[in-house]
Amino acid sequence: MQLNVNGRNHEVDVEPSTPLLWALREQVGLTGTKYGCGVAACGACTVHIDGAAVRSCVMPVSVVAGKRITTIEGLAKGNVLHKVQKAWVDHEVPQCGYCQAGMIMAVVALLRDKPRPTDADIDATITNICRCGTFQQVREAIHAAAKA
Amino acid sequence: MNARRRFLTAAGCFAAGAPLALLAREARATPAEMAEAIRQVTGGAPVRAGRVRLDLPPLIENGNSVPLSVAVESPMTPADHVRAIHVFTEKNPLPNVVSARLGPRAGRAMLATRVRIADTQTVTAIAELSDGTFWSGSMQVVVTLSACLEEGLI
Amino acid sequence: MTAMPKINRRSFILSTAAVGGGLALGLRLPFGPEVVLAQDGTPEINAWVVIRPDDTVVVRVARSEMGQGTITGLAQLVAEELECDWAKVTTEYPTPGQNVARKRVWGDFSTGGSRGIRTSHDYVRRGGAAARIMLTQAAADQWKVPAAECVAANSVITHKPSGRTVRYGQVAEAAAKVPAPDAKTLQLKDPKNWKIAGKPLKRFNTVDKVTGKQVYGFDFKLPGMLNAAIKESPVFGGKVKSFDAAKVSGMKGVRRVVQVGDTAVAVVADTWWQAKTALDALPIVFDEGPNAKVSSASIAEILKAGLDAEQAFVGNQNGDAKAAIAGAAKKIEAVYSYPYQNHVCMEPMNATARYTADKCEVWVPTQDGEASFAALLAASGLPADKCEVYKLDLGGGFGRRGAFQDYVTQAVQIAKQIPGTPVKLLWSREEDMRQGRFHPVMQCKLTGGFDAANNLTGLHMRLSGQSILAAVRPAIVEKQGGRDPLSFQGVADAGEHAIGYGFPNLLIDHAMRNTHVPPGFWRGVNINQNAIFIECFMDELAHAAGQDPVAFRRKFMEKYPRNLAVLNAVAEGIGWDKPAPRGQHRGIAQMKAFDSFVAAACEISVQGGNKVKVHRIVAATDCGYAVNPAQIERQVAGSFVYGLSALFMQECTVKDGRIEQENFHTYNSMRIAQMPKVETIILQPGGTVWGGIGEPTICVAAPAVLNAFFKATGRRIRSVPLKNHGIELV
Repeated sequence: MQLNVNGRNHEVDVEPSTPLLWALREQVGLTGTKYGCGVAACGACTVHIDGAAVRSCVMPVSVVAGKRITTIEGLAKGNVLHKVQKAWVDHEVPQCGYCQAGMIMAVVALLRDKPRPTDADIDATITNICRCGTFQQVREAIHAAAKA
Repeated sequence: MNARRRFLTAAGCFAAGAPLALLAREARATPAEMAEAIRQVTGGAPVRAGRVRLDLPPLIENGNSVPLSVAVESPMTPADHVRAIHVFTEKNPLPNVVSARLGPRAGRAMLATRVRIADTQTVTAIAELSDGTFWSGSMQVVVTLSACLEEGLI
Repeated sequence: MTAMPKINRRSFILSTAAVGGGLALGLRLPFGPEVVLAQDGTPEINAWVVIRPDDTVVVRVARSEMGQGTITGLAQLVAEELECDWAKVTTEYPTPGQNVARKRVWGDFSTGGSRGIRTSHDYVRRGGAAARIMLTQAAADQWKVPAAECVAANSVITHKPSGRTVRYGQVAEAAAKVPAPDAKTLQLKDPKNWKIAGKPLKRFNTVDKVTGKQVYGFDFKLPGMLNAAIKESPVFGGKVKSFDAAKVSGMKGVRRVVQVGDTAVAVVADTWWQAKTALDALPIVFDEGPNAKVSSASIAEILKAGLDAEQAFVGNQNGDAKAAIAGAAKKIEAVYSYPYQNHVCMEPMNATARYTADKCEVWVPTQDGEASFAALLAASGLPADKCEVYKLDLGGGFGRRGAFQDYVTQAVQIAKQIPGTPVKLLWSREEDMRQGRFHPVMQCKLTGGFDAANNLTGLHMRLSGQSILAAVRPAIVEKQGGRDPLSFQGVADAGEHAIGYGFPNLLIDHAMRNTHVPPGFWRGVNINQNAIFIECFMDELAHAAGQDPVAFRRKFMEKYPRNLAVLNAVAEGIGWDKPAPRGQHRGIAQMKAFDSFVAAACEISVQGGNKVKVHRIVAATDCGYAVNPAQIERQVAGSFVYGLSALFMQECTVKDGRIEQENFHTYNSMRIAQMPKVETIILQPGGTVWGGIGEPTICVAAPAVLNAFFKATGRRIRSVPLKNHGIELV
């Protein structure tokens, strides 16, 4: 099966029912997308499928073959960070950092749909869990990225 | 569940009774008590450092059952052998944790066993030789304290 | 990723001295005595500081970074005394094996108890100061001038009379040979003059965390590595009876099906998904053992009986509270309770191990590298010089990854069965939820007595519930005659967790009731429930006496000026003496914990009697000295997410001897929509004691919110989590 990830095609030998999360981590070898719950409750596994935010831990690979998959590793252009990543660095958002790849992917998708989100937009769309509790800085950074 | 936890749970159900009197006594040795226990074995004779190799893990997670080995340099002949090996601790409730009598028929002056290590401390092994001399080897062992307790805080 | 230094074995000999026991360091070096080389060949100036020819400063940090900013803070302290250019500072983790071999030159590795900075600041600063002195001396020696005429600043040494300068990188090799000064004689800088410490400097590794490059234990890879999924007896104390490996051995990718210790079974496969899929299909029969009938209800009954039991361990007392209460004109009594809770780190437990008869290595995210090493020694049976632990970055610790190294033990037990092959053991979220080390279950009966003039004459706080130390560190409980001193955190008679009130007659005691559920240190530990118990009851007492909660508290705080200062700071910050915004109600709480004084005041509104919105929290922390204020702010706000999630949503219930909650749908956590605005006030009065940051504030948000809830609705909630009362955080 072929997976198109961050603009490159990867040939993977994997059961069609394997969640995309694990095909990315174990067959393609990109470990930036994280496992937090396996039941799409926490958002740590968020990737983009054709630009839309999707929780990859419950998405079988068979469904995404032929689609454009973007992971956290595909956001930056070479050494140039995506404006959301830059805002995350400027506002020192991450603490342990484990949930942040998923958080950032969810935010990038939000900004694509709503370039200047209100707090209510953020509340309704960004439902990722963060156990370190970085939410105050996440909100600041989203607004900063929106203005950038 | 180990015996200690069962005991504490049971004790909680009694009104001030015998088991609690046991618990109420402060139960730990001190370096002075260890020195005295050593003196009891050596009779006051001088103890020289050397010839005794004491092996314990330097870091211990669970002090309940720790592998310990002692090896003494000795030809183990009738004329020249190890009579006994004793192991002492500074902080266990009773300072003398192991005493083993040997003799030339033992073949090797070695013992390997498991002991309980109550806390971070120095452990000392003393070998009594057939010529009446005493030799020792020591080791510092650390019981890795729980994430919320600094050494010596409690 | 934080690098791990290797001692260059060509340049020195590590010898184990048979005589006298223990490990002794014997060094034969081209550079002279006591000089150790770092992995890249650069001589260490001392164990704390390596400086490369290009002026890069490598600071060794023994504690673990888990998002709390400790590694940056410690580096700031070293850099401050070292007088180096902060832009050139990087950090490195020494390994526990190296620490043992070098007689614990880096001290304690354990990162917990909010201790990372407050208990190591002194010796790491001395390490930095010593290195600065040696560098200065080396420059002075080269110039043949007195060291006193030289000054070090920003990685440059200047000879004042002549103006000559030299960079640190140029004299580092020579500095490594200068005899180290006596650490005790070193003069450390007055924090008032700090230029690097005390500043909100940016943390290391942030770019890696936002680009997916940061490698956590879950992500670790080695060539030829296999992956393992594990299931341990869900009933604590149960054992493996049998399992039918044949049913899954033929599944794709499956290499081995192994028993792990007495209590668990693992499937080892090419990928973790294959291992997990096979494990889910593997029939396992557990002998559930003696605890298969235990339930939350049966536990609660035992705890309830303890509330009135004759025997209890006393934690704090003065006067005769029972007599005062017996003779009181008015008595107020309340019973509170607090449940089992799981840490729920975002990254589930994991460890990677490789075992051969000659060497056993573990790669693990851990709060205590030495505890991991100890577990490795015990599980492998190999001597220390054949073992090593490499610390990886943690996706959350919170107390789960310090004292408890069960995943290391398991990984080694699996690896021992496949010698030579590295095995990465990952827990599923379900396994992580079931095999926690749980915040202990506790009930509390509080009784207060008033005289006819509404003065409080006596207070009895009886705790009934589980002791953590009885299970985890029984030697301490033994030393104290059966008592667990940690049970009194926040209400103790003295020390880092001393109570912040002086009552005329006081008795605080604990009827210890242990269960088969394994307890652990959950961020804040016992201050979480004790803060709810005492701070909510203080509000109940104030209400009974017809007094304002803040004014009522102040009466007992004359001898507790630092507690009073944080209480007043948040009262002022929230505008306690002015009306709250329309529809909002306020609550307040204070406590001393981990040698810091903390308080919180909140504003909430309640819709429909049960939908709670927390609008704003004003928090104050007096930690003595603030090494990085930006990190403190983040820790305070973050601790409220942890604490309020617990308050509203989190309980681990026991049924048929096992934990029922297996994932976030039954054990939820806060989302951004529910996050209140948090304002942090930092007080830095200085003094001799440094307070902790990672934990203290976690305990004051919950009682503040509970107290506000009473103001809003007239309902006094005394058991947690609030979802059990139909109350929701919106």
